[in-house]
Amino acid sequence: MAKKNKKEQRKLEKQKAREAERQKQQKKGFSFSTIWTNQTNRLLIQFLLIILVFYLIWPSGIFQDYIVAPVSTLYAQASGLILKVFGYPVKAIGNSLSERNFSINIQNGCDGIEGLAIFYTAVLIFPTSWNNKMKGLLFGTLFLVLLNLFRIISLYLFKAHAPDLFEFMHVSVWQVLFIGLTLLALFYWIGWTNKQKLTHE
Amino acid sequence: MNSNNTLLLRAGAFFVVYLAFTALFQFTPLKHALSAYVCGIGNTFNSTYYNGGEVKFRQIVDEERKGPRLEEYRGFDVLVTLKSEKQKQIAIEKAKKQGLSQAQITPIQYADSSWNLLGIILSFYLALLIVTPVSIKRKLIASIIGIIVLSLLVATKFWFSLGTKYATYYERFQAGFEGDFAITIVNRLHLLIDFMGFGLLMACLLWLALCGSKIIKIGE
Repeated sequence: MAKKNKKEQRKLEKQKAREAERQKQQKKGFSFSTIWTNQTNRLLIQFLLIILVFYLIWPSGIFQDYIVAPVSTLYAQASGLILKVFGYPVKAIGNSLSERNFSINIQNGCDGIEGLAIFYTAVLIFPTSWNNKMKGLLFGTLFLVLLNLFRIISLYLFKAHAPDLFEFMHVSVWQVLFIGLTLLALFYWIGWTNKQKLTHE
Repeated sequence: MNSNNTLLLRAGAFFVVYLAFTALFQFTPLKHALSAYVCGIGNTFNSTYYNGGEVKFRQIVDEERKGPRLEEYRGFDVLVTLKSEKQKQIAIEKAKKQGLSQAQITPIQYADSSWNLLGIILSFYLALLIVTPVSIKRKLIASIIGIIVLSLLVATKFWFSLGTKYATYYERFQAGFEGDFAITIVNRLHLLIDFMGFGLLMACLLWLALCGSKIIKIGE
């Protein structure tokens, strides 16, 4: 019992020290030392290391053949199905969607795997309960898969109805929007975990 | 963040600011300023390449977008010219042997887009900074650091892209990397660093490193 109390006391002291450090930094405003001393940045370094490993594995043959290719094919099939429901004469073959006059390929970057990797890494390193993490992973997967499906369908529609805008939408809008919305989903989840913690306390 | 509504508002504002930057970089003189800046980065950091490579970066002028070049230069505004010391030496020796007074070399040229190289990532980063609720001072410092870091990212992109080009034309230039292993590494890293998502993620991380402590509350 005494051991447990001591542990809790130490934990409280650590929390107080961390809070004092944070307040000190906030009073000081911006300084280069804040880049390295706060918890956010420590998490960022962890994140960077894990995501670099992902980026190194990503172009490998095994990852491309066994993960990227089937995922792209699934997206092509699902988008093709939805477009057919809306009356578009589209054929989904492998990772491409084609009509009589054109076709689009779902390639690296348009498969949403990078967005998922970013989201998963951030959720797994964020200091919260495993229950919250699992809910986050579920929510993130659902959100990002639906978002990517929407991206592919919208790009197909641009190619069909406004081909001049396709490249702009593909490169300048959707890439930024996808990363931006991944970040937004992450902030939502972080906000939710903080609220959960407050409710439990 | 205070509430989900604030978060949504800021996300909306971010997208509007990003589109405003996009319009500025596409339809105003900033377009030329950006390509001049990217050429400047190239000429400053990448004018020489490993093992005797010589590189020049210049803007593509509108007069060049004619005839067969119209399609080739569509969407591109930076022209990269590759030569090498060895290539020159070989050409001079050959000309001497043939009794010619002038030697001729054939450089390799390829076009690139300053918008894809830097514009998108910079606009993304600046838009994030503008909508982030931090002091003007912090925004300014973060902008300066961001521009420096992203410029270095562009220089690195050029370095890897030149590595793959010199490897492709090694027989002609005899510059750059030679061994299979080195070329494979350069190619792999080129694929990674040239990927837009990677650049955007780096911009995100930089933004979080410089402003994150003010916007994310951890364990509170």
